[in-house]
Amino acid sequence: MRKFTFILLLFVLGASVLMAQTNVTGHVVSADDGEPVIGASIVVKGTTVGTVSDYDGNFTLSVPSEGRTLVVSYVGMVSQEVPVAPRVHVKLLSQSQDLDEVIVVAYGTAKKSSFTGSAGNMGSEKISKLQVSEVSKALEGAMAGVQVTSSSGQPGSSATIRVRGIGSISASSNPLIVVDGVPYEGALNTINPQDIESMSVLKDAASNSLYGARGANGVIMITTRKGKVGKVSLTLDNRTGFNVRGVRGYDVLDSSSEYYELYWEAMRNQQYYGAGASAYNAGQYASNNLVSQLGGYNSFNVANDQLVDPLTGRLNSSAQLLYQDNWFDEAFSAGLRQENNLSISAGSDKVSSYTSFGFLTEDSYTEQSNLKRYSARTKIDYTITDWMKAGVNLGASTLTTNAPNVGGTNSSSIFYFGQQVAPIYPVYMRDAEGNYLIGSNGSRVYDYGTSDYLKRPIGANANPIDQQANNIRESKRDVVNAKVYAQINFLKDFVFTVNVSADNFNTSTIDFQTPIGGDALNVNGRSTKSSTRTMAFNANQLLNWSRTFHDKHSFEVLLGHESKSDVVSNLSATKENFFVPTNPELDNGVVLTDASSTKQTYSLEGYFSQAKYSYRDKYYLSASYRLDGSSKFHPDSRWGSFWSVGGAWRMTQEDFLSNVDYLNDLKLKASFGTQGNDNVPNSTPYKDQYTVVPQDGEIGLVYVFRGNPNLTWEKSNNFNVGFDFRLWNRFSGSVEYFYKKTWDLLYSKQLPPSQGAPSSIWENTMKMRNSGVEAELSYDIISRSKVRWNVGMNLTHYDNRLLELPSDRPQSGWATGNYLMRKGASIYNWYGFKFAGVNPENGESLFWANEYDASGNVVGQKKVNNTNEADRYEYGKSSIPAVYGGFNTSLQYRQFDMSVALSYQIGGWAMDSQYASLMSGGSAGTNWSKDIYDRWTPENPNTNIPRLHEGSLDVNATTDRFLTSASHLSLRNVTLGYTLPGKVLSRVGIEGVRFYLVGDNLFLLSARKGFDPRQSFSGSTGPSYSAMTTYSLGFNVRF
Amino acid sequence: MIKKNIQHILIGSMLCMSTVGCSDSFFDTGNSSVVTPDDIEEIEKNDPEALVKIVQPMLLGMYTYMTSLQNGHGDFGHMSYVHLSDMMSDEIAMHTAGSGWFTFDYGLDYWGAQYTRPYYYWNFYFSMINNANELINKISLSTDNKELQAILGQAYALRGFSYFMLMQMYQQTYVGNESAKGCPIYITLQEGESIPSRAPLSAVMSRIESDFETSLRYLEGWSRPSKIHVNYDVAAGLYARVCLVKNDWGKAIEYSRIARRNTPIYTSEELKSEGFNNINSKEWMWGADITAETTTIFASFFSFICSYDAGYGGAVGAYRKIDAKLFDTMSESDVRRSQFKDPNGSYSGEELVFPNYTNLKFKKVSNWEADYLYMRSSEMLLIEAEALAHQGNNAEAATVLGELMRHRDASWSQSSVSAEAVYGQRRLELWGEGFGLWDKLRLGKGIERNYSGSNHLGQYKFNVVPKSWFMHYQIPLSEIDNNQYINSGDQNPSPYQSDKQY
Repeated sequence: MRKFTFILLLFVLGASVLMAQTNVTGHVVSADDGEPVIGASIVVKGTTVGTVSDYDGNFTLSVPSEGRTLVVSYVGMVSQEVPVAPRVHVKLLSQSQDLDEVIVVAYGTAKKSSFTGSAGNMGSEKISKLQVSEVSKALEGAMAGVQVTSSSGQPGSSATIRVRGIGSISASSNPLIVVDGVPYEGALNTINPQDIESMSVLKDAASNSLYGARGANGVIMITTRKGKVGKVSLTLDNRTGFNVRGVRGYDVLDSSSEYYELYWEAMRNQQYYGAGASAYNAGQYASNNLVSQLGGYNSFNVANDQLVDPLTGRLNSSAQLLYQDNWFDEAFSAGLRQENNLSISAGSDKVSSYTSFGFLTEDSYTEQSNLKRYSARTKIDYTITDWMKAGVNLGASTLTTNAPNVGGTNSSSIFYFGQQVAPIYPVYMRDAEGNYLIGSNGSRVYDYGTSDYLKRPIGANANPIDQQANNIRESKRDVVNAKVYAQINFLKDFVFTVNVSADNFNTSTIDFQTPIGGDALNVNGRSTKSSTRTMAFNANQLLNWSRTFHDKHSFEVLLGHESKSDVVSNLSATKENFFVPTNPELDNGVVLTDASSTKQTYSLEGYFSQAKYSYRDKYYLSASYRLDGSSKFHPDSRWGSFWSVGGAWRMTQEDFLSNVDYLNDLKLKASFGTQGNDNVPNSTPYKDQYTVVPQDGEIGLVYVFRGNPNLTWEKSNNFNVGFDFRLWNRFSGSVEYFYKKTWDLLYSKQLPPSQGAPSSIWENTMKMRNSGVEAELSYDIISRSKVRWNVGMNLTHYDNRLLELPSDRPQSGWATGNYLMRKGASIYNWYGFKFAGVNPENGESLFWANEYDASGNVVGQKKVNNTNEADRYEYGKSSIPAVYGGFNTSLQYRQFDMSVALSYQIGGWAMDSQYASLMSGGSAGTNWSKDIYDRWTPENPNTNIPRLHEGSLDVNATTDRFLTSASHLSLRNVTLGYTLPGKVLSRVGIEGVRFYLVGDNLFLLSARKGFDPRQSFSGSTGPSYSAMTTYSLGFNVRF
Repeated sequence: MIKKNIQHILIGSMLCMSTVGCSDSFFDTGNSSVVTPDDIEEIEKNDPEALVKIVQPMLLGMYTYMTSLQNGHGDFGHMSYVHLSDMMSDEIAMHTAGSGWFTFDYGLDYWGAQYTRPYYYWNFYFSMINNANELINKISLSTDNKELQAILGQAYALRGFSYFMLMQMYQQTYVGNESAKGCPIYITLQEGESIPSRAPLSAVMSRIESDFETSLRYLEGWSRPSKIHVNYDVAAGLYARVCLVKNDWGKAIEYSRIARRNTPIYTSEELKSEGFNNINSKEWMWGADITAETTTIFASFFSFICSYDAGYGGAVGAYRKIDAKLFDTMSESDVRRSQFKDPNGSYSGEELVFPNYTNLKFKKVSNWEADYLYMRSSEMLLIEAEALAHQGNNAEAATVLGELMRHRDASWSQSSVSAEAVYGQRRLELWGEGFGLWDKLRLGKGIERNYSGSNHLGQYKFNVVPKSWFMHYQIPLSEIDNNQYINSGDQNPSPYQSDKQY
């Protein structure tokens, strides 16, 4: 194996035998730990002569007479040039210590030192540690200016990303995602995170106005790995672990007796306070009707009207509990996760290649929720002549996911129903003695709450556990990403590059509602099969010119053209009445209820240019311009132009700072520019649109979209200033200030409801700004060869503010749902009824209302007992956090390594709607939070929790009472690793072995147990599929 | 030199291979799943006589819109408002709260501007109006094309009907409140100025009357392809409903007679087997033909009203029962007793588990394809009889009512009936068909659920005093927030808590 590897590598390198003039012997070690570097490539500069270091890091090489310099390189380390000498000793620095890393930017790369813009970068070593099946989730807390929410624990689901505040109100605020230079139109879960070399987030105008049309919300550049010049290396990585529920449920009642007593109280109070019955009659009424009101469910062995004492409201002391099920316990169990990755990297000065294969299988902690992915990638770069290069980059993957219908407030979602359902309702049907009913197939019978005499008032017709197990919601996605490029150098300073890519995503889904029970029971099963094909075609042509004059003045100019066209076509059909209850294929069903096909296209064309100038690597200037046309807008308002200027000053290059020892690096930078956004979720928002509907076999037209022919680009001005520094060779970071003003916002304006449907129209209106500061800091506490300890943190603070309202809406402030749009306030400025506590006399909820004098001026506030009389107020709170960010630390001690990453948010307010519904006055079948213990009763008059009162709309009306602090801390990742010593392994032909234990999403600290504020930017929360915690054990072997 | 040429050739060919765009047609994109005005113009261009091809689908789209799912399971278009009329009354007694849909309607708790129901109702009928205006706008009002006239006639009828639905709900009844604030009036530019503020009821009423008169003019002599369309008879019938509200008894008699001239009524035998679920049924004058493609399944009228199916009013357990007191007004020989589970009857099978008084009137059609009833001839007969009685022609009223009663109750024989007596029969005949609340409002009646032997659900066992604002809606908050011509000073008052008597 060793020999084979060695020979193969020599062959690939194309080592040629030339007339040897000088014999060089050398030794290559790692600067980190002094260990020999095996397989480092040593090439004589300007020739194809070279070799690789052996198992002890030694090499010998015959250098031709013209050879002056050796280039020593190794994967993951900084290449080094050394003069030819009979004996050389080379210490290679690992790449993480590289002070001048190269970052991927729009249509090229840039050295960090010369970069005038603002970008965050995340390397493969961080990404590969996390067990994310979808790479966007890796960004949580990872870099300054990047805010992430992930509302679903479904394996492979994606996170939502915001770069430097909220870019738009109604149009998309999602950043543009660019993979290997091409905008990516598919889901990121089709890319294996292990194939990613780096992910950089471009944040300011200088960095992303070259993506003018679509750059306003930031750009995420994902670069996949490529082959490195050096020995052929093969890496095998396996990790095996399990998934469990990451965020626990709310603290709710888990005892049937408590629920019966409290519901009795809710009914009694409704009669007593609401209907004016006497205390005695109210109690009698509640006792007599309790069980029937709850659908006939009585989990005790006494008669229905004997369950609760009408005088005391206490459960009959002789009643014995017959059954008690816990829906979450029945629904959740640990799921297996396994990931295998194999990659081969090889490279010579003529050809380099990277090939990988990955297999991931991941089961969530709940039934029928999983992901299986096979992915393969090959990247080959050829140097054809000294003036021509070309390459191909092929990615292919196939994914199968099963994703249950959860996340909304539908009863077939275990996350909604399981949280809301009162503890008196069983998962399985019971007989009068509380024994399980056994079905004809010998297993327990699930309770759907619709038997003849038991009618569950919550989620009747549903049993999420059984439905989830029998419904089929499968999606299969086949993806091929093909890219080719060719590059020609001519006339000395010119480079012409053409990139062409075609990304093809084919998705076919099955949504089968089981005939066994639930929604499709009485139609004997319902299945929808749909197939979607997305073809994203992109081509660009780039002409680069670069030249340095007198070793001082460097110029780089880029001219480019890009065109893209996307076509999404879909075909789907639905049938009902299925013969085999487990076969979802349409041929198994007989009643066709729907068949449809659609096609949507999008095209974008841009012309762009960029110029960069630097003087003695001290002063940098850059400017860019782009003209873009988008098919989203009317031909008359289709084209938009976007530009930027930027500059940087590397102060440490100045003489007056060169002798300051502790200052290793200091750079000041600033940029300004404009970008656009055309991301309206409609292909042609400038046209009125109708859909064709069937009406008695004839054609009907329904008006569904109000077109606006004047609709055009949303524009933003973006200013950035900041500095990067490195002190004492151990403390580094950057601090930046940004100011982004967006105007002509693409806004879907709600019309007065009296204008009828469609109820809104897209306009370019309003003005908004996002401004703030962000910082990224890193400190090497210990930095010795055997012990390394680094801590890092990032933080972002921003302010979101409306500067202008639509002219035809009240300028003093305009209510849109639960927010008040007001000049000077954030777009998520909470607004609504204000809770004024509880009336100690009778336990009613109170709300604030205005008091007026005779001439109608507001002179004060009073408390009223219903929301209709109440007034709406600004709460003075918004969902925007004061600060968000992350912490991380990594420790390496000899063969051991450990790293920890956390993310946090301080400030911001979210509406805890789930908690609100668990604090109702009593809704038949809905459970209560344990906080209800402190409700108002005549014995507990001084409380903030109103009395129980069945069916009251006011008790838990949406007010600031349920607005909850969204501050949180989450432990994102802990990794512990052990690397076997190299000397031991080299004897068996293995280059490196590392064992590791990794845990992701380990805990969340939030204002309330069960409350996950990480669900949205707007502060709305709901019964989402809660996040997974993953634990794995893995090993990584390198040959 | 050769190298340079090769380079040039290569660069040229790379450019050619990779360059797309650079032309206007590159941007000719869009969403082929929707129809745009360009497509419409194209159809018109190809055939100058083709305006019908455009406006006919727009009209049919309005009929589809009437039955389509709007917001959640309790809001499925026109029939959800038909249903809430009976829920907000004392026609239907709810057996359990079920899954909660329509319970706040049943409790008359949804009146406030801040709740969803006033918004849904308002937005729905204004959408119908907006669609009708779009359609009217496309056709010259002086057209002599028969097909276009028929389309215009239907659009006017639907618009008048929508204003009628709004007028009743957002203000006290017309008579005696003519100058009270109604709703905005939007019409097409060719007809005149719209009124974006709350126009007085008198203006809304004039608009409604004018729309129906225009409609009748256009629809005269037109024979419709199916009962989903409003024809001359149906427009007259809708107009007769308006006349009842206006207390214009003469016109109510005139138009209800016109309306039912071509449609017979069920015999008692037919009524027994009638499921109120098929548009081809004998009495039906106007309805919706629900098919596999248009059904809204669980979120549908039959899900709530049909006791035999898996829906909310069926297996879920929120059975729709007839008010016990109303049931007891039926004589023993009344054939309509068979439409409900009689507490003294004997039942088997599925009906055995139904609670007493559960309706058996609306029967199951498989696959949720039961059709919707909008108007039938018995209603027209009852309008005529009631209007006659109001006029004081009690004997003539008895004669007209007798035409119906002959087929309903063999023991019925009266030579003179009061308007109240006609109303009693009207409640029994049209139970569940959505007249509960509207009749209470126009007749100035309250709601009576709190009586000895009441079969209403515990917490909803209350009476509501006549003319209470509990029986109306406030203008939705989002209208006030977004319409600069309506502000909080234009809002309806809140009801007095004491209007509900437990």
